[in-house]
Amino acid sequence: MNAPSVATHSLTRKYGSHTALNGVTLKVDPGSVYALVGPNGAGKTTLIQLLMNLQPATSGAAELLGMPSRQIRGAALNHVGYVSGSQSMPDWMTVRAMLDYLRPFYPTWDRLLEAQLMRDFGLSPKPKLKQLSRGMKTKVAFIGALSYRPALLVLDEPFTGLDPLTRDELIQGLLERIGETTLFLSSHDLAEIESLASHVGYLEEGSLLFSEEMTTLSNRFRKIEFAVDPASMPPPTLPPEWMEFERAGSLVRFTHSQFATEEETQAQIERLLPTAGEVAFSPMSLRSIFLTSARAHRSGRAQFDAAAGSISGGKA
Amino acid sequence: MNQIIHIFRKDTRRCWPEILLSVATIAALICAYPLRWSVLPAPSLGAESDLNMNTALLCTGLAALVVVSWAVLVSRIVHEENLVGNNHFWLTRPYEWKSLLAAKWLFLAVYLYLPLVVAQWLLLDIAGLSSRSAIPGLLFNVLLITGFLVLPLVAVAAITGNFFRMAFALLGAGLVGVGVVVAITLPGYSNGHNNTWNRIVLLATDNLAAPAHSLTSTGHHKQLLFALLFAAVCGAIVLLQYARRQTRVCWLALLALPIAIAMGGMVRAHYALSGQALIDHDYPTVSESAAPIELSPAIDTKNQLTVFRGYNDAETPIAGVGIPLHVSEIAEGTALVIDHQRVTIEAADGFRWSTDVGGIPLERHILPGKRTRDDIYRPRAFFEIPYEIYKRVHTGPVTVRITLAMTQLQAVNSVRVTMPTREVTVPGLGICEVETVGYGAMQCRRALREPEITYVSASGWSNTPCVDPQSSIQLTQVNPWMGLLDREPAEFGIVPIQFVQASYSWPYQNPWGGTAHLCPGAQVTFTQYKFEGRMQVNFTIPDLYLPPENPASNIDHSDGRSL
Repeated sequence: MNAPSVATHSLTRKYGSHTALNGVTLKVDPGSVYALVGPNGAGKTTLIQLLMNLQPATSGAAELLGMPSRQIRGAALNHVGYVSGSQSMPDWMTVRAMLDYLRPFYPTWDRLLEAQLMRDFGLSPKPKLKQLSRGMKTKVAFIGALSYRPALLVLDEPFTGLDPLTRDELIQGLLERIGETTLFLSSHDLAEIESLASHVGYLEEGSLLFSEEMTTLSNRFRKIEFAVDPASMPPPTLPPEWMEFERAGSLVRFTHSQFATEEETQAQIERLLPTAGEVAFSPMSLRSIFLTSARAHRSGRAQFDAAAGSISGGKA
Repeated sequence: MNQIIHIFRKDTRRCWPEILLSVATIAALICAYPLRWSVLPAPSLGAESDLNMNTALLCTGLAALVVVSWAVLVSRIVHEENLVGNNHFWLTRPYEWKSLLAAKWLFLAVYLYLPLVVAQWLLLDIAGLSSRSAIPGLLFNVLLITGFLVLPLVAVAAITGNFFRMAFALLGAGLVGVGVVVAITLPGYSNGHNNTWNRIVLLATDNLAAPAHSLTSTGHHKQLLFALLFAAVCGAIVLLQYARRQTRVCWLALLALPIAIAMGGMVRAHYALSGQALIDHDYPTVSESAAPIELSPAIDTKNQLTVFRGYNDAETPIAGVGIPLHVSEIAEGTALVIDHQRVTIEAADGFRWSTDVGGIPLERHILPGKRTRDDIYRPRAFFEIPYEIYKRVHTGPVTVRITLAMTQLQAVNSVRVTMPTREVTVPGLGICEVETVGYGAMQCRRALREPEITYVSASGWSNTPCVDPQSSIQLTQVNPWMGLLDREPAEFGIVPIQFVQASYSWPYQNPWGGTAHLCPGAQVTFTQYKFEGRMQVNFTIPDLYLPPENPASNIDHSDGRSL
């Protein structure tokens, strides 16, 4: 069995008393497209910089392509591509000079692919990088990272600040590489990774809340609505997988984070709320799943307690 | 190797304006520097001085510009692959750090060292000093420049993010250095010279044990030691930063370097506050009978024991005492240079008082035959004692002990030259020329370092300027020594040419009593000496009565005002 393209074990990074990354453990299989999402300041860039050996971990370990991340330097980078929206570039070079300069570093550089990407992205080789827009610079960075066909491509917020057209062009370029290259990308914009990712991890305040396949994630989250007798008494505690539980008059609404089947869920509801009427199940968008998870994480168990209190008090 | 060349070529394309600037600055220095010896003598001393000063300022300014252009060059190539921060594109590319570092050094070798060595060789050639024997010196100078300049610049560039931060760091380091020197020096000056604080300063700066003048100093030997120390620390910083990018650790190491040097000096000062201890370390004591000279008091009607009253720099009343001495002849071929003197006075009641180490030597240098003019010029053991001490001891007989710390030299060869109106090549010394106006001084230029210590004697001293007989310039004695004892093949410098002068000393040491000009046509003998050894000798003068102070000669020693 192939080694995972990316693996972390209790990876932690502290800056003084501030914990930027708190015991993150994840695994990315070869050939997958892993999207690391989370709000600004969640620790996505820190995690990627630890993976790329751009800074040391406080504790824990990480591996890329089976190598400890602290050894990711020199020749090891022949197999790893990296593009970051915040990475500085040699702006004094022209596009051609930049690619000419990079080419000899990589034994596997594919000039045909480079030429194809230049065409696909509509890039001219003549202008200096400092004359290019942010989107055009990102395209150059993509060509510089894709042309040697790396086994792993790490992208840190690659689409931030790009117009939709450029973003689509780049995503298209990535989609064509899927299979031969494992993608590990971070983003705080769910829409830009939804069409791309096969796996997703959600980082919140340095902690990885979940990390799984997109289809699994979509399948286990459901929006649930039903009516109850307004006079009915709620159970003293709610299951932890019932997130954002709220009640408006007789209408009860919550998000089920461990949804398996409608029958099983309906039975659980009837057991806890015997006056419940017909239950409606709605699939959730990725955006809704993340927002629900983030809010639940931030409010913690208090939300559930408050929700339980609202039921007992008949609060809307 | 491919990666080294690849990065080197990229840096060359990137930095060609800075390369041009650096080479142009060095070229300007090559063009301007010969003015220092090729300017025709000006018609008057003032104009000549201005011209010389302007030329010297121009050359110093250009040399400083060369250093600035190097700083810019180093910053550009190091910051091209910036080692500070995590968002530089090269960090995620398959650079081998050893290749990257090698590429940077290749760049420096080609665009900094090569132009420097070529410029130095050209300058030696223009100065008429080039020879194969200069090659070791040039290489040694490259080593010093690496230790004192290039490696520190690379180290600071490696731990800063851009040129302005690098310049700020260098400026800050310079200001801190100046501040520390001022802070420890000013109290020393304001409190007078003979105090503990001043001695700590001297010890910390490693100057106390060194002779009072540079003639027999071996302090320059330490330039290699310090260059190696700087190179070791800065080299370690550069290696660590390129291999591991440990910026914080590197900053600490860089800051620790001057602190360690200062602490070393201060610790040394702490454990050796007695100047005598350091003198004892460098100058083994020999008995009076084994000493190469004998001292005895020689007080007569012409040469009387004198005492005057005055004030020292700290405005403390002092009594200046001058004891005429007879100094014996010394062996042929031997020369003695008195580096330090200490005088101890013991009164009959057991009271004892000593001067500080240093003081005013009775005579800087003693050579065979000089005592033949003892009748008209007699050396004096001169020292200052606090006035209250003088008042206490002058009523009875005292025993005076004079401790002389001396360097003994031995003549190795001698060359006699008739001075032409223009330049003459003196073997072992360089290319020499006598000023025909002004002070009539002799100036020699030489490759890379000062010559071996050389005594200059002439048969054609003139009491008037060789031209311009109307000159009212009052000249004094020529200091006949040139060169240093140091054995290092070069002194640190961008320019590989050293100037030495037969310069002038103070009037009271003038054995001829008037002006002295060395004129073209004079027969000048250059005697080269080698280091023979160092020693300290104690001479005792018993039963000496210090006379009443002489009001006619009372002076304020600090500013020369009469009392």
